Amino acid sequence: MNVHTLPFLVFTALILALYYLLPRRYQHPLLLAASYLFYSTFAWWFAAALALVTAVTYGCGQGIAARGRPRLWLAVGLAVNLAGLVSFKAAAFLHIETTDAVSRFGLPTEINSLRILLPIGLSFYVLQAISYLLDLYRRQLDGPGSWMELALYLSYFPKLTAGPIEKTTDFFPALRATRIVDNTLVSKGVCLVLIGLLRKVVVADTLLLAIPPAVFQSPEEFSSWALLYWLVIFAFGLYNDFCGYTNIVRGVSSLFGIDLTRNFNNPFMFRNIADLWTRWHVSLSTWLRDYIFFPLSRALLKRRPSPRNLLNVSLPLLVTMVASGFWHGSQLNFLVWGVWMGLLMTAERLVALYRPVKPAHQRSRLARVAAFVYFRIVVFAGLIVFVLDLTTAGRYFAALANNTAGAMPDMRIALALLPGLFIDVAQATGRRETVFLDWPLGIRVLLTALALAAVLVFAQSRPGTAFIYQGF
Amino acid sequence: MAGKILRLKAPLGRDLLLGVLFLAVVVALLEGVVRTDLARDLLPAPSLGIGHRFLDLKFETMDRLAENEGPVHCVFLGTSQMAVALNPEEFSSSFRQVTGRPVRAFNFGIAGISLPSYQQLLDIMVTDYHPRLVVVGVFPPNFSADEKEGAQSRIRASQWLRYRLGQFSPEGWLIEHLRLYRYILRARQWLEQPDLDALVQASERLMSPYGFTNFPNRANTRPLIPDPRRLRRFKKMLAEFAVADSRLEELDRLLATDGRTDLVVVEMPVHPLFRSLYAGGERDHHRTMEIIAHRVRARGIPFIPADNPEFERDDMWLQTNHMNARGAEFFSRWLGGEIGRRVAEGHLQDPSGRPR
Repeated sequence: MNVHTLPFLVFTALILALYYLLPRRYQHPLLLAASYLFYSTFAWWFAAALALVTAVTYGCGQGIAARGRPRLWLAVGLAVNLAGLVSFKAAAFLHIETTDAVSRFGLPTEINSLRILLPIGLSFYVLQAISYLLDLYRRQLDGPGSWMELALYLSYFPKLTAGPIEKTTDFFPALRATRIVDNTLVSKGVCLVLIGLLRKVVVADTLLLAIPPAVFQSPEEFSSWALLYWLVIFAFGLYNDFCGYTNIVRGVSSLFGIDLTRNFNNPFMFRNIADLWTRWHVSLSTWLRDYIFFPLSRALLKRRPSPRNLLNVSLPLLVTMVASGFWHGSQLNFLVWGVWMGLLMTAERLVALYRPVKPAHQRSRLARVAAFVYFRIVVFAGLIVFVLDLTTAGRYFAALANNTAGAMPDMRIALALLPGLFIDVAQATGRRETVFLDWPLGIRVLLTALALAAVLVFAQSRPGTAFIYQGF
Repeated sequence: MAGKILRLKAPLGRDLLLGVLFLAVVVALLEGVVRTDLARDLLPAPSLGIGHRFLDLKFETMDRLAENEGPVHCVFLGTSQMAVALNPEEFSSSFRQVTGRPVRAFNFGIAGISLPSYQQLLDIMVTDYHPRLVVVGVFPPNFSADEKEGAQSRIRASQWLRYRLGQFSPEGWLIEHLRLYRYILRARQWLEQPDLDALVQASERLMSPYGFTNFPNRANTRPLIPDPRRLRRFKKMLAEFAVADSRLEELDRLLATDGRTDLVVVEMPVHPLFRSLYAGGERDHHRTMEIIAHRVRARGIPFIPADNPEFERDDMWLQTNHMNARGAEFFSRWLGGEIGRRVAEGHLQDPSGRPR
């Protein structure tokens, strides 16, 4: 049951009705039951895996809170969670590799019986389990909380399958606070759901389905222009897909009176690589920063207290980005992508240390354009490695460099970008996600009608296309 | 209890409600506009969302014919062979010469369709247009067990066709009842499938108001230049050709119209080179056609073999199984004469009468 389908809409409506009707003490059990029911619709054993992670994390959390042997309990909790994540990722990698190897020898791939499916959302809730244990250990949480709170923190159905990755310090207080769902919150929720549906159903699916599959399989058959064009289309498709998902689940959560983290902030307007990670998948970047980058930087600075030391600058960035790569998948291309991003950020940091970057308005137009182009080239180069296996990525780069004589592709599909760009520009200029709610009534009505019409029309012919980030 | 968490006050959901109302009004207005003759003349043909270069167009063209000129008496059903070989105007003129009666005919030949699709289209056609006579063109590859799916997969996936055949879907309902939605589908086709849209535009230019696809003049009357790739493909298919029982059963189902219309099955002519591709040459071709003819006649339905020696001439053919304009003119007139003769002799009911 994907979050942009009619069954999810009906499911949410039913749960909301019960949620509003029930006394407060029954609301958390209701949300928990709904979350497990929702998760079971993908596969019953996904729910079992989640319950296991919850039980282990809760047990270790109790151990940490008891202050007997907190470090031991932390180590056990981290080990179990990381082992679960790593083993599923490695098994998925092994499955792909053995399938490749088997087919390379001309043998039928059916003989490869290692069929391991990564539970949807595992990568997201394991990170939350880890942050719970670490926050408890570092006493950033007021106690371990009840098992219900932890279970809900890990399983809360709007964010279960692809985040946002919530901080314990935000989510636990939100569960404990008195929740009031008023007109403002309902308007915000409905607005976000509509924006999310528009991004996913109208923009992302249209763009992603238009990309000829051969572009990423036989890039040598396409001109450089076509490869570049389809790469940009893919990037915007991916963005609208993930951002659309986040908008929908945040909108739904608003209706329950629980605010979830904003994951995107006009990511294509990034000024440098570090800035990109404050705009794209913000909840993951924040997690990586809080639990890998900061602790590692602090540890290194304690040993060599110089902020300009090369190791102090490079190692935390490299480790953080490699971890980010591994989180996306254990295939080699994700690790190479992580190293590439880490190196770019290290270079950026070193340049900034020795030659502080001037504010944009103090730089020449040429310098600003050059920076704009440079950062997009390096990020899009990284995207090729991120999306493709290394061999195909190499062929993609070669075709980009060599096939310059080819024809331009038919570019009309880029028109599907317009609703997404319109939303981005409006949000950037209004500095608010739901800026549309401040606009005059006539425009609001017109936009609502247009958005509804577009979603209804596009949803008819391709209901329930899965979200890309659920695959991680 | 509800008051504890919900603090809502009027006007909640005003934007949404007004948006829905506004949308309903705009849709109603636009629906009125696209149903006018002016809009029909100015706008490209709408789409039924089937994703086939001919299917959407044929239904639209037939609709227009029925609206502009009156009921369609006779429909020709077949593959691309039929689409390019049967000019309904020539057919009608020839039919009139023999019977003295006018007949309004439409060519519903669709590239790449197979027998199950014939049946589905026939159902819809008989329900919507009540033709008195449906002429089904057959061709041996239609009866091969490994005939390619062709347009069948698109037809199976079509929400509109499924809706028309009794399987409800919201989109099928929208396509059937909202002409505006058909234009939206055409706009989406332009946006999302530019290659298909270009093909549809080309087909739109080439198609006559009677459904006949008239290839451009240059290719129209040139004599046959065999295409080696097509020949190889046909040779591969015909080398081990056998009529599949399952196809004959599909033919039986197609022919069981329960008296809703009269049927005639006609053998679509092919160039001699095509017939020579069978393992046993001409003999195999004739044997195949005999099996089909026997099956058709066993149901009491007339079968017209393509036995005119003029079909052997090179200058009638664009490809080994597609006629050129000269071939189409000749075939159409010949078939008009054949069917006219059967009507005049009382073997067939006069299709030009009042529609059922």
